[in-house]
Amino acid sequence: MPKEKAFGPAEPAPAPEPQGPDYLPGPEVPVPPTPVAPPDEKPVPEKKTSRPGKKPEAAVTGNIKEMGTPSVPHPTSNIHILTIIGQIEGHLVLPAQNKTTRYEHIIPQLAAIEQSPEIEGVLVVLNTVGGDVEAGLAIAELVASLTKPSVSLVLGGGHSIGVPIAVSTAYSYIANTATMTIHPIRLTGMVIGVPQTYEYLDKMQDRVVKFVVKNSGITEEKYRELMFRTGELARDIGTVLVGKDAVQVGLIDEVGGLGSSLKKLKELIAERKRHKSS
Amino acid sequence: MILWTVMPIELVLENAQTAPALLEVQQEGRLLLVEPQPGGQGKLVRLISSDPSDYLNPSWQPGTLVQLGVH
Repeated sequence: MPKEKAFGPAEPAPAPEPQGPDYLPGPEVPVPPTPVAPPDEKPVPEKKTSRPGKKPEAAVTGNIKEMGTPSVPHPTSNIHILTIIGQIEGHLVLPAQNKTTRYEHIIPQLAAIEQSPEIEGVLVVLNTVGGDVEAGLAIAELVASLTKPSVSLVLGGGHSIGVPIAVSTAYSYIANTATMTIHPIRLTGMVIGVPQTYEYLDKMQDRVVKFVVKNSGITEEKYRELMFRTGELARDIGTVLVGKDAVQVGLIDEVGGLGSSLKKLKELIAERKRHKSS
Repeated sequence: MILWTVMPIELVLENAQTAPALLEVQQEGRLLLVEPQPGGQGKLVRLISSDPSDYLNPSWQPGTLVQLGVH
C-alpha cells in the first residue's frame, strides 16, 4: 500500500479524486458532516505520501550548483580570503563573457574585515588579467592601509593592475609557475590632443609605479626598465616575470603556495597579538 | 576609465552593447540590484547597504539567486 501511494503525489490530480468517488452519494443531503468525516481517515495516507522535507535538500543542491560545495561556510574562521579573479571591473560594467572582480563589493568587504572582531587576517589570492586602473588602485590602497595582517598569493597570473594589488599586502607570495606581466598603461580608442594624452597616461602610470615601489622591494628604475623592455612580449613592450623572477627583482617576497602563505599569515597574526598584549 | 590588461581589448569589450536591464529589489531592508532570470528569480548584481557585515554575508554575494516578489 504505501508504495502505491508513494507514486500518487507525483501527479497532483489523484489527491482530490479519492474524496469524490467515496462520498459522491453523501454530499446530496448531509453536506457538512461528510467532508469532516473523511479527512479523519484520508489525511493519514496523504500526509505520509507527501514529499518528505524537500526544501533543505533543494538548498544543498543549489549550493553545490552555484558554489561547488554542499554548504557555504559561515565566517567562523579568523582568516578572510579575498579572491581577485578575471578582470577588475571599474566604472564600466564589462560585457558578460568577462569574469570580473567587482570593486564596489570588495571595498565595503575590506571595511568589514577591518572592523570585524572575528577576522584577524586577510589572504588575497590573485589570478587576474588586469582591469580598471582606478578600481585596482582603490583595492590596493585599501589592502595596504589595513591594520590587520595581510598576505597575498599570486596563482596563475597577476598581470597589469594585478601587480599593485599583489604587492599591497604585508607579505607576498608567488606560485612557482605563476606569471606577472609588467607593461605600460595604454589608452585605446580615439586620442584627442596627443601631448595632453601622453601627459595624462604618464601621470596614471606614475601613480602605479609609485605605489608598487613604495609597497615592494623593487626600485623605480628597475620597474620602469621592466615596463619598457622590448623583445619579450609579442603584442606589447614590457616583461613577463615567472615565479622566482618576480622574487629576484624584489617585486614579490617569496615563492610559495597555499601552505606557506597561510603559515606566514598565522605568524603575522600571532606577532600582532604579542605586540598588542605587550 | 583606463583598462590596463593583458587581454586583447577586442575580446574584453565584445558584446559591449548588450547590457542587461537591472531591477531594484528591497530584501530584508537592503537594496539589491538584480538581473531578472526565468522562474521568478533574479541574479544579484550589486548589494547596496551601509552595514559592512552585509558584504561578508554569503547570501548577499554577487551572483546569488534571489527570489523576486518576496519581501
